Amino acid sequence: MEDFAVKIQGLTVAYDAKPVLSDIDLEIPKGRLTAVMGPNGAGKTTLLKSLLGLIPKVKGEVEFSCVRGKPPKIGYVPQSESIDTDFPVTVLDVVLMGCYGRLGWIRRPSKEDKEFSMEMLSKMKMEQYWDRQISRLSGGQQQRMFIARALAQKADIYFMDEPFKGVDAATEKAIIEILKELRSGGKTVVAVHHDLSTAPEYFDWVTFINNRVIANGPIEQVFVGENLSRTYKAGGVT
Amino acid sequence: MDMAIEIQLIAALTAAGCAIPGSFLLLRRMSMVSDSITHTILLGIVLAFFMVQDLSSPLLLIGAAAMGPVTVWLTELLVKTRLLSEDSATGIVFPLLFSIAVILITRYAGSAHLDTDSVLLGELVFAPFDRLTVFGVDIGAKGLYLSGGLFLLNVTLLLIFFKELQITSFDPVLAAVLGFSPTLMNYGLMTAASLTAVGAFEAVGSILVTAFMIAPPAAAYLLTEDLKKLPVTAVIIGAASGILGYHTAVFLEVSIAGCMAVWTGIFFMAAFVYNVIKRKRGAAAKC
Repeated sequence: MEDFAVKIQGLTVAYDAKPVLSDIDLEIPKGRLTAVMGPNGAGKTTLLKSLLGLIPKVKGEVEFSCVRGKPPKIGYVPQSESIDTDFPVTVLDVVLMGCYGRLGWIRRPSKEDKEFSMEMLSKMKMEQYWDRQISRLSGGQQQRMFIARALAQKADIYFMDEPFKGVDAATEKAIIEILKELRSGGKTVVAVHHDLSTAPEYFDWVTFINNRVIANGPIEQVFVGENLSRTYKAGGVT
Repeated sequence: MDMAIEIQLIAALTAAGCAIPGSFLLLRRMSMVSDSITHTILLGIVLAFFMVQDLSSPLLLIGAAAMGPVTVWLTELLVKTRLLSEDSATGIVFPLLFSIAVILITRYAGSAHLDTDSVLLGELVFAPFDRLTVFGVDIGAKGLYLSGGLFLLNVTLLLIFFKELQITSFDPVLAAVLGFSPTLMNYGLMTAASLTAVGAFEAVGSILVTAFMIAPPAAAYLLTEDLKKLPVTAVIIGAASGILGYHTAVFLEVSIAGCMAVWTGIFFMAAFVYNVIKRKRGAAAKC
């Protein structure tokens, strides 16, 4: 049995009376890249948000395993369309937000925080855009910025909502490099992923959900035709 | 101090104070909430007045300030039923509370100096007659201290909570993950906006407070892409509208509050035109 990063037992989440997730039992392994896959409306984003504690649960338990004796630090990459790109912030402003968790209330980011954020930007090859307002970035550049922000969080577990959505090929490659680097550093990554063709190459663990858990395990064992058809045909969503 | 200067200072400070919470209401796409709050605080004032029977009591400020979060809470209660959208819920809550306040005033407070006209339009012209005296010494108009105090309060809150306001407005999900409660910041902002609205209420009345809270930040939004410069620009535009509005009103012999609101509109139009030209030039430069 592998060490788990997150253990979910009997999780049920509902909007109104309609359950979006019912009776989810799941162990997400530590130090792996896990893809959460399923058709539209399967509850992938809802699962992520309820793990982050942002949506009230109807019932069930979510347990995070400790990292070095402490609750793990959680990093987060939003779904790109959930962001208001007209908001008056620059690329560096956004990456700096990754440091806010360490600062706590009221304390302001220091020069070191800014330098560290610039470093994370250059890691994503975004340093020349640091003072741009974020609406003047391409989809790929925006995603690189959010990955840089997640890196600035220095988290133990990263939750990413479709990190490859709407990005160019070069960005996709850059992101997957970073994910692998995080894994070698012992970090856990949980990403909502849509592209069936790239999943086996990018991830080493997969969770198929469609309102409930269809399958969960190492990608080479679980990513098979039977599970795919059960995931994408169950529930009447095509 | 000269009466005319006092009026202008009160107007400028009021508008400047409104521009700060207004900037964040605008960024959170909650502009109409300011309209809602500026109406419902009247109920807070009326209820507090019934308790203390004194129009100059500071308790009136507290009653009004408490009504802002109550309004937001009631609105969100309706939104959470998922039966109506946010704007419909706003449209149900504020006329209800406001109309209760108007009925209470006309029925029970007719003899007090709490009449609907002054509530809707404010009485800036009379502000200099209401003096603040300390040990018998006249130290200036009360309105000056009220508007100045609220402006300083807003500046202080902005300086302390800038980072928290930024992250909860821009990315509430990350804010929540990092431990900056978006709900807490939301209610805090609403309380600050309500308090500010009460001050502005005396100067320009409940209807025009919205003009001060939203138009200067909306103009500033079109002029700057820097969150630090946004409230500063909005404060300058608001204060300028107050002063220019006063002079226009004196020159044309019309309502001061009305002229100030017109100036906020003129500034917005100018910013809009500037923004369009800038964008066109930007597009041309790319070719």
